[in-house]
Amino acid sequence: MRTVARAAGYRRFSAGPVSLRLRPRAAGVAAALVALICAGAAFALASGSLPIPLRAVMAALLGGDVPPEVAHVITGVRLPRVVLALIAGAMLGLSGAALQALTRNGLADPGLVGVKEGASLAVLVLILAFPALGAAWRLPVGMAGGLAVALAVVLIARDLSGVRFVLVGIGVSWLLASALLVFITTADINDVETALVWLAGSLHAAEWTLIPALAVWGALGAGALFATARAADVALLGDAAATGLGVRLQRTGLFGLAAPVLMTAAAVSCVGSLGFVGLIAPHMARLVVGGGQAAVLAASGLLGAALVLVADTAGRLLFAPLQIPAGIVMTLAGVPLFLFLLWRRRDQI
Amino acid sequence: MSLAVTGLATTRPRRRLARPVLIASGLMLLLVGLAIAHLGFGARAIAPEVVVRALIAFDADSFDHNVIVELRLLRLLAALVVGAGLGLTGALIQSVTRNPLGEPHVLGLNAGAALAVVTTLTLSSFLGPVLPAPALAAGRPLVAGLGAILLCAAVLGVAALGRTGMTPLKVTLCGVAFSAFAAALTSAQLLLDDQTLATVRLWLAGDLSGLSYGALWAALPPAMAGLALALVLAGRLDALAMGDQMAAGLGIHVARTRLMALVAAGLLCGAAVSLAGPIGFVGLVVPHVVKALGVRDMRVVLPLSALAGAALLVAADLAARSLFAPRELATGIVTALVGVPVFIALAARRRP
Amino acid sequence: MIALLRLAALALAFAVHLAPAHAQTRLFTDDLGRTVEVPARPQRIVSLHDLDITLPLIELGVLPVASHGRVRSDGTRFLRAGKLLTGVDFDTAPIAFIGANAIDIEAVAAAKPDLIITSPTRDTPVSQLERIAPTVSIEHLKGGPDAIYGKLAALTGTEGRLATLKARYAAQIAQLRGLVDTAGITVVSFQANQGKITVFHTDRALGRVLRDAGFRFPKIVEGIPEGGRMDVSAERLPDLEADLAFGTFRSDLGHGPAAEMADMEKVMPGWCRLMKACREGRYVLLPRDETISNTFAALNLVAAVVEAEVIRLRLARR
Repeated sequence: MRTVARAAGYRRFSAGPVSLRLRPRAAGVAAALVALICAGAAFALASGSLPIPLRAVMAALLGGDVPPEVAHVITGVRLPRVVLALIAGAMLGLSGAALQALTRNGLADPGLVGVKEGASLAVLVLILAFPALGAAWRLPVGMAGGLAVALAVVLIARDLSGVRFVLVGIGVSWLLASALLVFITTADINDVETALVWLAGSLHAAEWTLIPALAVWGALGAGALFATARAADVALLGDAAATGLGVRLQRTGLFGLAAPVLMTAAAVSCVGSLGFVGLIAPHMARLVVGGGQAAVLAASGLLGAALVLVADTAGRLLFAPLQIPAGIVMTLAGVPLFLFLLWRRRDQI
Repeated sequence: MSLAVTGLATTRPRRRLARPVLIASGLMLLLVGLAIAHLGFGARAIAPEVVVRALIAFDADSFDHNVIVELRLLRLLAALVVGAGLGLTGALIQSVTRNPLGEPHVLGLNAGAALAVVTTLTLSSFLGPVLPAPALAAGRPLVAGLGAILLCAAVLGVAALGRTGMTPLKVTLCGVAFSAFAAALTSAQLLLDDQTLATVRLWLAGDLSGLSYGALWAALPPAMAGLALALVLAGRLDALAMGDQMAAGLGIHVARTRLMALVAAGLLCGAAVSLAGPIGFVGLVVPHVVKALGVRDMRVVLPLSALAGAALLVAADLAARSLFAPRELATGIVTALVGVPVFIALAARRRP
Repeated sequence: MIALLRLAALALAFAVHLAPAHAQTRLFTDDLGRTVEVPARPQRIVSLHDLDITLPLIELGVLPVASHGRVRSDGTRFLRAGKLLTGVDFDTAPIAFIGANAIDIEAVAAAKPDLIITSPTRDTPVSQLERIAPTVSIEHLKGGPDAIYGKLAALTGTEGRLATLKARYAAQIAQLRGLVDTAGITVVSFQANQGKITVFHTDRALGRVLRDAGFRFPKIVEGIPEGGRMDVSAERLPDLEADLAFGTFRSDLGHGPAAEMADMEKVMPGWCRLMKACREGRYVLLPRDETISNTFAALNLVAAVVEAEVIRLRLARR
C-alpha cells in the first residue's frame, strides 16, 4: 500500500506522530541555518583587506555613487565570492547526502567514480597549460573531465550495478591520483604550489562568469534529488538486505547517481576539491535533524552552504592578507564540530 | 555479502581447501620471480655474476656491490615488509569496519605520519639547537612511525567512547575526521613553505628510496607483532563478520577482538609508513584482489593479502626504479600504475 | 655607449619633467599574448611573485609598493632571499604584503597600483586584476633571467640600469673564461632528494653562471630539456662525476652543509668515498638561498665562488 500511494499518499500516511515530533526540530534547524547564512553573507560582504565603510558597502550594492575600486571590490570580488560559496557548498552537501544514501556507505563520495579527480585534473591542466584562458572555461572543461572519467568507469564496468562498478571506479580514480602525484613530484615548485591551493579547495578565482552555469546545474541536480527523495526513503526501508556498498541502480537510482556526479563535477570545477563538505555535511545533517531523505538533503545542502561560506570568509580574513584556502579552514573547524556531534550521539551509533 | 554466501554454497569443501594452496603457491612463485628481477634490474646494468658475488662476498669499495646491497637488496626487503604490512592492514580494517572502502587512511595512520614529518621539518629552525639537521634526517622513519601510531591511538580512543563501544561506524567516522584534520594541518604548512614542499613531496607520494638498514630493523618488531596478533585473531574475525550478536553467541568478546585487530593494523601500517611514507592504494585493493580470487576465510585471506601486497609493492618498486631509468619515480605513484590494470581485470571478471 | 645612455636618460628625465607621468601610456605585449596599455613611467607597481618579479625590480632600482612574499613559522613575512641579495625586505622597505600563496585581491586594490605584474603560474584571475590597474603577466620559466629582466626593464624604463648590471656580470664571466679554459673542465650541480638525486638542466643562478662560463656538463645533464629537472636514480651516481661538483643546502631553516651531506648519505651510504669528486675534495656546498634566485646579485656571488674553486682546482692539478 505504501509503495502504491507513494507520491501523494505516503506523505499523509507517515505524517503521523513521528513526523509531528520531528518537524519543529527540522524547521528550527533550517531556520537557524538560513539565519546563519544571511548573517555570514552580510559579514563577508562588509569585511576585507580594503577598508570600506558600511555606508559605502550599501551604496555599492544598491548602485550608488562610489569610487570605482570600491564598486569593483564589493560587486566584482566579494559578492560573486559569497554567491559562489553558497551555491558550491550547497551542491557538494546535496551530492554527498544523495550518494551516501544511495550507496548506504558513510564513506561514499563522488571520488568513488573518479569524478573529483577527473574534474580537478582537467582544470589544473587548464590553469597551468592555458593561463591565457579565463576562469569561465573552468566549468565546461572540469565537467568534461569529470564526466569523461565517470563514463570510462561505466564503460569498463559494462553495467551499473554491484560491487564491480565501485571497484572499477576505485581503480580508475587511483590511476588519476597517480597521474596527479607524478605532476606534484616532478613539476616546477611554483606550479605545484598553485596546484595545491586549487586541490585544497579555494574560492580565490570567484568571478561572475562562473556563476550562471553553475547555478543551472545546481538547480537541475537539486530538483532531481528532491523529486526522488521519497522514493529513496522507500528503497532504504524496503531493501534492507542489499549489500552495504552495492550501488543498486534502478530507475530512481540512476537519477540518484547522475545528479550528485554532475553537481560534484560542476562544483569541483569552480572551487577545487572542497571534498570534505560532501562527506561531513550529510553526517552532520543526520546527527542534527534526522528523519527522511528530503529533510536530510535540505539540511545537508544548507549545512554545506554555511560551512563553505564561513570557511572561505574566515580563510580570507583571519590572517589577511595571508589567504588560507577554504578547504583547509573548513576541515580544521569542521572536524571538531563533527566530533562534538558524534560525541553527543556516542551511545546511539 | 550475498556474493560471499552464494560463492561458498556452490563450492565443494575439497576445492575450498585446494584453491587457497594453489593461489598461495602461485603468488609465492610470482614473488620469488619479482624479487630476483628486483635485484637484477635497475637504472644501472649489472651482470648477474656481479649480483651474486655482491651478495656472498661484499666488497665495500665496489660501486656495483654497494648498489646491490645498499640500494637494491635494502629496497627489496623494505618492499616486502611494507607491501605485506599494507596488504594485511587493509584486510584487517575492511573486515573490522565492515566497509570494503576501508583502508589504512581510515585509521589516520598515513595522515598522522605525514603531519609528524612535515611539522618537524617546519619547526626544524626552532629544533636546531636540540636536534641538528642530520639527526632529523636519520630520524624521519621514527618520527613517521610515531606520528602514525599516535593519531591511530587518538582515533581508536575516541571511537571507543560511549556505551555502544567501538562500532564500525564510529571507527570509520572518527578515522576520517582525524585524518582530514591532520591532512589539513599538513597542507597548510606545505602551502606556506615551498621549500619544505620541495623537500618532502617525494616522501609524501610514498617512496622506498633513501632508507637505511637501521630503519628496516627498527620496523620489523612492530610489524612481526602485528602479524602474529592478526593471525591469532583471524578465526574470531570470521565469526565477527557474521554479525556482533552471532559472534557474541559463539563466545567471542566483540569489542576486545575489534580493538585488538585494529591495534594489529596500527602496528603493521605504522611500520610500513615509517619505511615508505604514506603509500595509498595497496591497502585498499589487495584484499579485494584476494577476494576476487574466490577466498573468503580470514585465516586464508590474511596470509594471501600479505603475499599479494608484497608482490604488488616489489613489482611497483622494480618499475619505479627501472622503467624510466635514469629517471626514478616515487614507488607510491607506480603502485597504482602497476596495480590498477590487474585490479580492474580481476574486478571486471566478477559476475555482477 | 655609456655616454649615449646617459644622454638618453637625461632626455627621458627632461621629457618626464615636462609632462605629468601618469598621462603617458604605451602598449606592451605580455607573455599571455595580451596587449596592454601600461603607464610609460609606472610609479606604484604591485608584484605577484617575490623571487621572479620583486627582486629583479629592486635590482633595476624600482621599489614595488606591494609584493607577494612568504611567511616563516613564527609568523614573520619575508621576500625569499630578499635581504640576502638586495638588502630589501618587508621590514626594511615600505613594501606592503599581499599574500603568500593565494593573493589577497583586496590588498592589491588597497595598494592603489598603477601597474600589476603577475606570472602565468599565479592563479589569480587576470580579469580581476586588470579591473584594478593595467596588468601584465611575465613567464618565469621560459627564456630565463635575460627575458624577465628585459621585459621588466622595458616596463619600468630602466634599460640603462639593466645595461650596467649586465656589463658587470659579463666582465666577471670574461675574467673567468680568461683564467682557465672552461671548455676543458666538466662541472655538475646536484641535490639530494629523498634518496634520489635531483639534477637541473640549469640550476638557477648557479647553473646560469656555469653555462655562461662555457663549462662542460656530464651527458646525463645535457639530456635534460632546457629549464627542466630530473630525479636521477642513486645507481647512476657515477654518471655525475665531474671535475667540480656543486651542491646546495637549505640555509633558510638555518641548516648547515651537514644537513645536505646527511641527505646525500641517505641517497647512497658512503657516497663520498665512492664518488671521486667528493673523495678528492672537489665537491662544493653553497647556501641554497644564494643560488635560488634570478638576480644579478646571485650571479655575481656565484661567479666569484666558481672562480675561486676553478683557481683552487688548477693549483691542485699542478
